[in-house]
Amino acid sequence: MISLSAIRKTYGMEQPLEVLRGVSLEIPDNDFLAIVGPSGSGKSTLLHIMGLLDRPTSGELHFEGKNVAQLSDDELSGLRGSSIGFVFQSFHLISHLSTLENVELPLFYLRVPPGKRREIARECLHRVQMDHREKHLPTQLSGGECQRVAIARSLVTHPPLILADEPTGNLDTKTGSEIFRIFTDLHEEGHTVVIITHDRGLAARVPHRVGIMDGLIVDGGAA
Amino acid sequence: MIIWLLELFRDSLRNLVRHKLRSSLTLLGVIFGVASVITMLAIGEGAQRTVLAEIEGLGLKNIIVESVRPPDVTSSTESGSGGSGLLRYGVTHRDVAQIRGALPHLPLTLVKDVKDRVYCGSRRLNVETRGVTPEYFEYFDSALIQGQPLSFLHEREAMPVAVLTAEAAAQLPGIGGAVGKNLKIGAKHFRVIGVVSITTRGNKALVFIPSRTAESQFGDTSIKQEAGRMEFTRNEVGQVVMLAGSESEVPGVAAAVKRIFTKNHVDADYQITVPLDILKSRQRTQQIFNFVLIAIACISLLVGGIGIMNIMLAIVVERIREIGIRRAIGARRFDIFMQFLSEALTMSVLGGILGCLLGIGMCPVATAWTGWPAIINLRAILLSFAVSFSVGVIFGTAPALHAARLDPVEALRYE
Repeated sequence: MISLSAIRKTYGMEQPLEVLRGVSLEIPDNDFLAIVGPSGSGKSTLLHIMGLLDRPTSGELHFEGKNVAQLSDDELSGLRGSSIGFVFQSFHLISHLSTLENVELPLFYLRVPPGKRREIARECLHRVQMDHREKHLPTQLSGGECQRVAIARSLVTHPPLILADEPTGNLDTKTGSEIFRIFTDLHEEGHTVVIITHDRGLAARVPHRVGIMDGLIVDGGAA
Repeated sequence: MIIWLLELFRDSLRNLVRHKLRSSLTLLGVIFGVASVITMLAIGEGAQRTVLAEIEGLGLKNIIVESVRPPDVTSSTESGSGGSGLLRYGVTHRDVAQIRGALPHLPLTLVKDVKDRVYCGSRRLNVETRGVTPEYFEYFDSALIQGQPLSFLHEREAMPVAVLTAEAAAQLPGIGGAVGKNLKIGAKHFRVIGVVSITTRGNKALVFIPSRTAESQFGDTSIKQEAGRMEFTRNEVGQVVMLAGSESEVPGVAAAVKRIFTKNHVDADYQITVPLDILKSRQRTQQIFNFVLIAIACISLLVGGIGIMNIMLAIVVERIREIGIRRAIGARRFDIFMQFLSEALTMSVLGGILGCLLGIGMCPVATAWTGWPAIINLRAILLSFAVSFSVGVIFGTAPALHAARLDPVEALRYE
């Protein structure tokens, strides 16, 4: 599904900071992968590059067989909308939109008609057991509920890849476990799930793990 | 696509409603700008139509030469030691004869000014008296309101009858209509036989008497006594009104008449009025006036537009993280651009609509306040609407572009 080859990422011009220093990684279809590393190791940058939000300074990234370097900004946006679902640590829900509107938003950018959008969004909210809160605003939800809504939003376009950045980082242990259970279910349904975390306990429950340290894969990357 | 655009505008409207105070303050600039465009153009249009109707009422095929008493002319003939003299001025029968000679087929009518005071009972009327032929009324936009007009019989017999304009009739004392009442002009008695409406410059209050009556009863010489000084003035013809065959003939006739008067008169004791020239000049002035009005209104809309741009830039900064989220879940740069442009457009168009309503509402108030008629035309409304739409596009583009160009990762990390 995703192939990274010697990916480097440098920020800044005058005092360049190399965050990724030649990362190579193969993520096959229906993989359930945890990328584990401490703060500042470059794991979020790696997730942004894998999620087509950022471009590497050098190296090659292939997404579903396409060389990302050759894609335009609009094509990357299209791929993000249709093939990738994001789940963030701080949920990143839009505060003035209702739960249902947040969930249906990715479909709006795929130009899905309003009626159909509502129907799919409700299905996804039902899937994460949040259908009873569809009219509520994110500010009226708990952290666990917000993360469920964010997962519903990531599923609404039926993307093959789910990228989760510290998805349980802001949650208590019990809620974190419930959220992790949803990711396990998604993997069993055939989605490729990549979780970025610094929590080794959480990573231990993921079938496939790689470690990252100072911008380099230190354990379990591609040869 | 249409549904998508409608949804964009619906969301924009929701965002405006979410921040009612901020949105209202931003809208005020556009509302007042558009309202001022509508009101100013309506007043301009009303004023134009009033003046044009007045000028057209003077007859666009007419050329009018009036006698004017020169302001600084001393008497041409001194008589006696008391400083009395005879002042000759204005249009003469010689001028008229030369016009007839130069333009033999040109219909014309003469008006005799009578300077004597006019009374109805003991009340002095603030009117001007003119001796005219029955044809005179055909040269102007006139209509009989009451009684009968001056006839050829009245003219031929030099009868002591008078026809009044509505403005003059309104000054008559007592109840009932003007017809049948008696007037005293100088020492002569006249009976009012009719009331007419006639367009004159400044809508003067006029009393018309038969031309021959004026000639026979009052002559050409009038006497004015003031501060121990007797002044005698002689004016042969008050006005000569000529009727060209068509509007295209007016400039040629006017030029010929001007030549005659320039040759015969040294003093500026006459005034040539060509309503067609006034009309054209007035139309040009009105165009300039309208241009200035629109320019002023556009400046106020510009200020409104800057207000929109300012607030849109603030909104973009406020929602940088939202932009990052939208970009992460699939929004293209164009989607973000359209989202913010539609918010700016919603503000300006809503301001335009409210401004139109306010402008339409202000017109009767402006009319009541100034007395000028205000005529709202569709063109002004469409123009205001188009300008407010353009303001939204022009001043919304920069903030929308700024939003669309944001880096998704930086936007997501923005605190």
